[in-house]
Amino acid sequence: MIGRPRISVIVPTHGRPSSVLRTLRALEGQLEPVAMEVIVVLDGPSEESERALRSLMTTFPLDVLVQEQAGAASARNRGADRARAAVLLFLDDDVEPLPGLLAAHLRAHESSPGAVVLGPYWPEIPVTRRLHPIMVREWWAATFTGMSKPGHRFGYRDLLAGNLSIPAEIFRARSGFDPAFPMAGGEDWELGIRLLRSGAAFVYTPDAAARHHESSTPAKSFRRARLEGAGDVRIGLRHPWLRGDLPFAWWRKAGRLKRFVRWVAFRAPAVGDLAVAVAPWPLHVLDVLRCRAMWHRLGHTVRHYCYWRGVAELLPGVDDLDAFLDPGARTDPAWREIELDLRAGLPEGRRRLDIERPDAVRLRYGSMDLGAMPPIPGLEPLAGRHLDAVLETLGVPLFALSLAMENASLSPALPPRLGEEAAIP
Amino acid sequence: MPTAIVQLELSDPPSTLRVGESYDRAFVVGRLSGRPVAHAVLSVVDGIVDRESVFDHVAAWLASRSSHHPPGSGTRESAAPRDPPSATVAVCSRDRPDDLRRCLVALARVRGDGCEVIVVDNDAVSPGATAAVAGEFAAVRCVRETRPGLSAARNRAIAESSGDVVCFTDDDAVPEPGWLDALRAPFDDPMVWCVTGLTLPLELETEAQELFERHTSHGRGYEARRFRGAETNPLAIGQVGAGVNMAIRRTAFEQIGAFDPALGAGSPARAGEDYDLFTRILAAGFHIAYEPAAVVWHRHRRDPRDLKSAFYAYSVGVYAYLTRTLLVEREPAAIRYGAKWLFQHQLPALWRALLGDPGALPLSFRTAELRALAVAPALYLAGRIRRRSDR
Repeated sequence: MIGRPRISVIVPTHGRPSSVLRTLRALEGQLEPVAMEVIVVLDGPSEESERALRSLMTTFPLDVLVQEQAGAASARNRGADRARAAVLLFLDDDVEPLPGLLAAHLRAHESSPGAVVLGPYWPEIPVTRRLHPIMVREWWAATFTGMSKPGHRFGYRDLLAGNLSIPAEIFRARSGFDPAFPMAGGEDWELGIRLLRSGAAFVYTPDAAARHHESSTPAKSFRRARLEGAGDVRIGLRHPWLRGDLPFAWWRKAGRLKRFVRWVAFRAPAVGDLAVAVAPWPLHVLDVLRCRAMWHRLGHTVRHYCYWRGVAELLPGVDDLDAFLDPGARTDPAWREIELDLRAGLPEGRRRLDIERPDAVRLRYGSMDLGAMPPIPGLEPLAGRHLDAVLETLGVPLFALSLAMENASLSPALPPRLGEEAAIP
Repeated sequence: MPTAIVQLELSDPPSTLRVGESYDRAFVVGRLSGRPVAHAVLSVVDGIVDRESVFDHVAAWLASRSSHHPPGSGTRESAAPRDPPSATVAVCSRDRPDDLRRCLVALARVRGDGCEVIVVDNDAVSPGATAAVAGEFAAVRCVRETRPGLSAARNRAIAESSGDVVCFTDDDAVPEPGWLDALRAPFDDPMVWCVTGLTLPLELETEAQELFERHTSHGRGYEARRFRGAETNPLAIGQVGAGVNMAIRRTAFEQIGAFDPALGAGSPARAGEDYDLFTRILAAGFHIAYEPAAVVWHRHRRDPRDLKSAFYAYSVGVYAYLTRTLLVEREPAAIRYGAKWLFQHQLPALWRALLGDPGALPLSFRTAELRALAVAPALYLAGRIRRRSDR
């Protein structure tokens, strides 16, 4: 293929040659011809992977880069440095693109210039009654289904790097992923924060779909929770204004069991780690006996411990944690709040939100206060498409409101104070 | 006296709601831009529904927090609209040609982009009557299933179907024109394997029909709901819906199997095949969506003797389903659910009947339900043995 490619596909991999070969074969099988280049970055030298990749015959230019193991963030940056196309597509090595994926990513960039395009990668989990695979599939499905809703308000935790494309110019202007995140654990979310702060739009494209060959086990999910805990601290270190909204900032106010779990993570990690090591056994027994509620409780508690263990890796003492979360030690960004009177109609309200893109909104209907949506750190600014969801969150019966605006004869049917619980016949 | 069935468009309510003079009550279904949002039973005086009570209810409906969604906006769960999956509508019928004709007339009006309609002729008494009625409709294909039972007939429909989803209704039901569109919409989400809809009474002309609606209504409310296998106990399917109004993704049958022929009408267990399938879908971790915009109107049994046998059949079906869930699906929770149904529902109901509570069902209905508990496990096992010998 001659000339500059339209899209550079970057696949970081670590010791999974058969998996990355499956990804490359799927790129060969794309239905629409797309001028692409593929850059595979071996994060940690692997003779087997290198030999397999270098002997591969492909219809697209394939670059194989090797680096000392430094984590997915560094490997992706390395690939992006080599990329020549105007659009970078990051695929994880266990992600198998469906035949329309590349074309769908490119179409999304044409229709939304400058956007960050997220594609789903549905987990390939055989139908089973085992609870762990069921929970993994549910998590991924809920994530992608949530993003597909028209009124979804994107947040930094939506930025998943397994099937993500981004204009190269924007990626480089934001300096790419932060290599301070050594393993896969929050580096994508951290980039999401900087992209949202710079005003980039997130676009979810269901047609850019892939299969995700994830082989999760309870033990792996515990390791992931620990990485997530450490990743969240790193996010807070880099973005102090977000500290108060990190999950562990809320969980400090949790119930007695969770507080005990946190205490173990800080004070007696050897005991906690031993419990984590043996936890897969009782979980297996509970699963076989179909004791779902107990399985959920135990699994959740162990993951909760692992998350705190990750937090404690970087904030070893409770005093460090308190200092880290001290509101006095940080400066919040200046949030933009507007007031919206819905007497002008819902379309007008949506139009104003689209123009002003505030972080927070106070809604009124004439003199009636409908409530306020406060700023939520880490979410994109409000847009017109979010208005229905905001009204629902505030408990405003939307159809009553629209009827009141469109049909004056029915307006007496509006309750005296919108949002109050009313008797259901 | 009988109860009239009336529909009321709330965005444009008429000044007078008139029904026949023979009625003293009206079962009023309120809609907003076509979407059902609530119902109420209101009094009728001289053939007119009391105006004050209508407007009281309109105000309460509009204020109801349970129906936040603007008309036609879909539900909180719905994703961006995409092309609906192709559908096959399956109607299994046995010796009820008049009901079947009414159902097929309604299906001819259902918006469905020329979807396939299959009638499964499961006749026992008058062979050929079902096929003759189906033959009156050009777009309907009729297949004959000689193995008796609703599950066998539905499995035959699945085998004959070509749609991505198979939508089931019964021959004594009348789907609305928008039924198929509403039933197919939630399949946008690949996690949804089953969608159930709202079933309302077609008529309440006899006391038996009133009792049925009051005590075992098929209706499951006016709010769209999502039952997620990862979060819901798979045996907690009481609010999911019923086989008279459901659609199932065809690939689901390949993964978890079809209906169990040892359950359902026509088998010794008489019912429970839909509950069993719901449980297996949830146990596999997938979702069931309840979509109240998918409306069918069901003609309840008119004869009190039929009603008593329906109560008995339903109770046998529930215990047979729990027997299957315990023995085949190896869910120990089936014992807990069986005990809960017995002690929290059936025995208190029996006690109320013994005390002569005015709202209670006759005592004979309740004793029949308890008889069902004694025989259901054996009947289920008999059904399995019979199924094996049929092969």
